[in-house]
Amino acid sequence: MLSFAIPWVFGVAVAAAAVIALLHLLSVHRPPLLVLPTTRFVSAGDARAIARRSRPNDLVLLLLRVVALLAAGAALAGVRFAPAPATRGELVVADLSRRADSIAIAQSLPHVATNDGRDSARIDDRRFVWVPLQADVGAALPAALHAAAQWRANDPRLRRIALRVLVPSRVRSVDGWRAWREQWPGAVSVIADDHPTADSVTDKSSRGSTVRIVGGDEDDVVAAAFALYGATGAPGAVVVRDSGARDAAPAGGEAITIEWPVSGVPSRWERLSSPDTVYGVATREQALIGQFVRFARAPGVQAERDGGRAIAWWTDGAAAVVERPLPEGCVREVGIRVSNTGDLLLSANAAGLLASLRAPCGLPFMTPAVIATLAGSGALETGAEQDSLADASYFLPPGESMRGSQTLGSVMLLLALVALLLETVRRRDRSGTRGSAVT
Amino acid sequence: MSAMYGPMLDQLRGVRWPARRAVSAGPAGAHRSIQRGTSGEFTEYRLYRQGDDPRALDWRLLARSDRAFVRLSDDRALLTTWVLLDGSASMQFPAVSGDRARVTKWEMARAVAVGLAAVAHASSDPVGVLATYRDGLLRIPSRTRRGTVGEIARALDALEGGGVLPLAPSLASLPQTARIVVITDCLGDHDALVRQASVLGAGGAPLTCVHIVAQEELVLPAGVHLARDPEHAGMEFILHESARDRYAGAFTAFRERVAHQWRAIGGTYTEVHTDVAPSRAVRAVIAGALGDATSSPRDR
Repeated sequence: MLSFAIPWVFGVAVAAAAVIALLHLLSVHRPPLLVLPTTRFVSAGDARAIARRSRPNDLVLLLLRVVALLAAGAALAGVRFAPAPATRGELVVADLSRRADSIAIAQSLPHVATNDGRDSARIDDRRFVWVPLQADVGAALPAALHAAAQWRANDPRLRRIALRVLVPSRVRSVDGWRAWREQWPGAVSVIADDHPTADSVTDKSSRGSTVRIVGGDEDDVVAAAFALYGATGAPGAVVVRDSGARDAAPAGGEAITIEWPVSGVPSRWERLSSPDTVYGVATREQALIGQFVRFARAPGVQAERDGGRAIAWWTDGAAAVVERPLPEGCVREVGIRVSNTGDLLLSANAAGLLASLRAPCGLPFMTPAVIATLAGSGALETGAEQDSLADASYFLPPGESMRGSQTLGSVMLLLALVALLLETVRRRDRSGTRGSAVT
Repeated sequence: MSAMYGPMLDQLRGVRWPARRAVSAGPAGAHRSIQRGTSGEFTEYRLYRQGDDPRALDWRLLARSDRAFVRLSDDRALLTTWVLLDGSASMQFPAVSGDRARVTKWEMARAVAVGLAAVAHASSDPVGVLATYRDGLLRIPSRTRRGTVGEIARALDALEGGGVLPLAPSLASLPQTARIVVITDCLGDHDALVRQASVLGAGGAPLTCVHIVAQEELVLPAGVHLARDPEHAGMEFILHESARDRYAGAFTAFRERVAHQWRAIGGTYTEVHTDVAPSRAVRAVIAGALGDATSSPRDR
């Protein structure tokens, strides 16, 4: 079965061939010219007579012209052999942690997952790609691209590919999604995978709404900063500026404990033998630029083992703030030493750091609002249907995708040239025969 | 010079072309003159009248009969011959194509002109040529010197047909005392030509029309063709098989009318076809009648 990379080009060639055939059949025969000095004695009644007659002897000429035109049109349209029947596949990208539930996930997905605008496009085959998505949901896209390329290389019948991403309930970042979204040549269906409700999120993170400072000086700049940027509705937190004072202070029931010692050395951190200088702290896509002196290093391996994670980083990549989960909430250890004499922490650039410290514990929830944000990035849709599927040939290497069409296109081009040559020879023969018969 | 002239001139050697009527007075030549003279060829006696040259008296007759008679004889004079050649586009027919050797009307007209010039020159007659051709009008003055025929042949060979000049004005420039031969296909300004020729004929000029007809004009090629007149742009007609009879009838009527016109003004008319030998065509023209080589329209 033949298919065309640019079908309308072949359509134009077919239309041109039809026009040529029509003109050939409608053509009026013009008799051969006879230069005759005694033309005046030809009866004037025959003047302007038109001899219309069928020309079966010209059918070969017509056939050669039509063949040349169609072959050239097919070559230009990128003709190629397409194995039949074409199939539609669907890639389902899910978080690696849900692999044990793959059977349940597969059973829950409908087989009519797409609609191309004319009729429902049934999915003939489905493949799962398991990727750790909690770090960044954008990892789903390069994994899907890789899987689609492998699938298309192994299955030439595959014509269209749908992509469905099952987003876990919590992810650390969605920044990679925007970076990779344009690489997928079609719509993407994003489905929330067992997301918590908005009520549960609110209940868990909104216990208390104030920031309590324990220890520290009266003119502590940290207390001033939290007072300045204490957003309404933020979860309650206690900031421990002095380890001794934390034990003496009464418990307020806050879910978040921020251990931010004045010395800049949290209790679990390793004190540096020789403090160094760092010029910024980055978090939540904001950077707080200043001249900091680093006195301690976060216990990276141990923190990971305890389920901790960094939520703020020095500009050299080292963790500046580490969050560790607790049975009730979490504790955040801040290894940033700030001077009370400066107003760096009171600047607007510090809002990101303070917001990270007051954010709910754990990974951020993929709330419907976040998904809606993702949906705003390009062709992304949040529903189960989209208008277009990716063309499977997009995933083939450029040389390989054109190899078949180049071979057949070359044959068609050669056929067109041969037909044109034969047509020229035959036309000259006819002209020569006519000329010798007239003069 | 064309290769066809040599055999033709050999075949025309010894052929004479006497004037049909007595020519006007002129230098001594081969043609009978209307002037009576005292040449050696006796014609008749006439009574002596006062003023006659006494040397013309037939003294023996006077001695026998005592009557004075003068011996009279016909004078002989030259007859200048002018050949008017039609070099119009219609004379370039049939067109030469491929390797098929076909004589065009223009080639036949040149051969007949050279042949007639050679015959006239053999009688010591002055021969001149007027020819229209593609670039204008060629005029070779009448001469009697040796080599005149060769000059005429070379000059005509150098000409290319396709001229547009009418023949009648050229004919008007010729003297009334000369023998005038018009070689044409009669498809140009023929009516004006006949009118002008009638003026010359009334003045005593012997007129001869040589009508060149191509064999391809008589027998048209088979099939349907778009006929186009080479001299009249836009004159195109479809030539069907059914139109051939009407064409043949119209062409025959035209040739009969042309012959009648020339004979009506006292001239002779000879139709020459392109498929005959030029020498036979020349003999037919000189004879003033149609022989085997040519045929009249009535014979067809």
